[in-house]
Amino acid sequence: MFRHRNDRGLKWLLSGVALICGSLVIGIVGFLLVEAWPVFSSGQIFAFFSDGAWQPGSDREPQFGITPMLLASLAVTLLATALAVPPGILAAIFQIYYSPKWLATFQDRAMELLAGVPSIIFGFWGLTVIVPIINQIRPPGQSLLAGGIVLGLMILPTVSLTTRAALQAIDRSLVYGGAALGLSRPRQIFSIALPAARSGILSGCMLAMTRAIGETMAVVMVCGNIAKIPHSIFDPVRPVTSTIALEMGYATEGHRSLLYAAGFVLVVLTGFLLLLRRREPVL
Amino acid sequence: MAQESELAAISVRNLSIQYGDFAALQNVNLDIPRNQISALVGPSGCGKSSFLNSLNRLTDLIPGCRVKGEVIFQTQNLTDSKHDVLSLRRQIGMVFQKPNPFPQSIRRNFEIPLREHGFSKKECRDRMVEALTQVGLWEEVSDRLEKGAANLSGGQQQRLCIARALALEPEVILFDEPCSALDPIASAVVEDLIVSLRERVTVVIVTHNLAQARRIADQLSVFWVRDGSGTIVESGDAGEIFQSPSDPDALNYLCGARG
Repeated sequence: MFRHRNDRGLKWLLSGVALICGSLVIGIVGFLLVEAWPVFSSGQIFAFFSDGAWQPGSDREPQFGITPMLLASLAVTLLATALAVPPGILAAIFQIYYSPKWLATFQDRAMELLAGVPSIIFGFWGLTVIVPIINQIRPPGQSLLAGGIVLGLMILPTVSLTTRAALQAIDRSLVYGGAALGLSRPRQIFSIALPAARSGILSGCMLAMTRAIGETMAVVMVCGNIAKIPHSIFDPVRPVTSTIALEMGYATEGHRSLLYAAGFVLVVLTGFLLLLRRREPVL
Repeated sequence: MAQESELAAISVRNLSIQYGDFAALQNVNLDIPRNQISALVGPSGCGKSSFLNSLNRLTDLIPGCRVKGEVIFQTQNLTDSKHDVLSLRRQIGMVFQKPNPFPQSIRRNFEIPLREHGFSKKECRDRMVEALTQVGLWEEVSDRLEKGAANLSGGQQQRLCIARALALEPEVILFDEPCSALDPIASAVVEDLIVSLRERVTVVIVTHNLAQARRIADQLSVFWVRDGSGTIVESGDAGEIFQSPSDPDALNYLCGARG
């Protein structure tokens, strides 16, 4: 197969680059583990899930419970996904099946721009627009709901662009086949195109979720940052990422390891989310 | 002529098809007789597939495609933009070159179109069984109706697509090179099936396989490019045309000398 010299050279180059990219992930996770090691070796990791509160700096009775923050991360992510997935998919359907060409191009550019807006801008916008509105309904405004809305807007382009790509990639012959059987356009879309594009759309949604769970800057600004288990979507929350960002600056040795361990838990959680994306059986 | 038109399932008058500025087909006239097999032959790029697509208005799906002239089916002109396309496509079905079952279960392949046209679950099942039996597939798939249609072999998939079209009980089925993506054995099975359909439906088939056209066609139309656009240069009883074509291009083509 690889008889030519330049082909063999390219093979080695590509293998090397692929190896470096792959090992970066292992390197980062390994680094997290090394930094967080004291937490694991001392058994503090169990306190992560058993302690009721997060007071790692307290002299008298330090507590290390990150459950409220993990729940906050999950809740904000699920809310953002629930808010972003339906409009994201519908927007992609409109773009492919109903939109005139100029509008489809405009929508593409708009989505790409939305995807490129820095998260600090989203946070800023959420703080000055969304939070005051929620505050009028139920104070304080900085809340799980505010985080969900802002994150939802941030992941909307990911959902929409991946859905559009998945719908475009389905075999044209299926579209013709459906039309030739006298199917109306809504029936073609919902009974044929969406099922055929399902695995691509699901991948896009998972990608969007992993982005949402890892997002920091915007949630720090709009979520309220109180490490308690929320009882309604109007309660302020503090996701894991916010905690790390807010405390890393002043954390001393033991506290620092705790934050690394929290980051490790977050990576594991993301890994689980990706595992959920099981391979669809080929129909 | 008037009598001929009454016997015809579809009458095409002065049909022209344009893609943007390019005239793919010009001034085509053809009567497609009921319950016979009409084969359309000719080299690539002379408008056979465009012609076929215009008969059930699939040309609507192609951006920039314009169809002029008349296609009379059941006393109505199909090229009229107000014509109900969805019920038309139920009456004039189509089978494509590449088998295109929906990537879902075998049962869903029937339910999606049948439910769309208002049949109950019970009717769907009855029609599915009948259609699958007609194409000789029932024995082979009756125990795996819930399995994916994509797991079937190419020939089985193509017979499934024919059954799916048959289940709607169409008047006409259009075949666009239905055997050219199949192996010789599957191709023969599908060809026999098409011949057996003649009693029930009117068949229009585009084929590049002249031997196949000779075997199955009652009527033959030879398409050729004239003045830059496709048109029909010879049309009539298949046996007569194969024996003594009057058009020189058709003669060369049918004798395998050109095209």
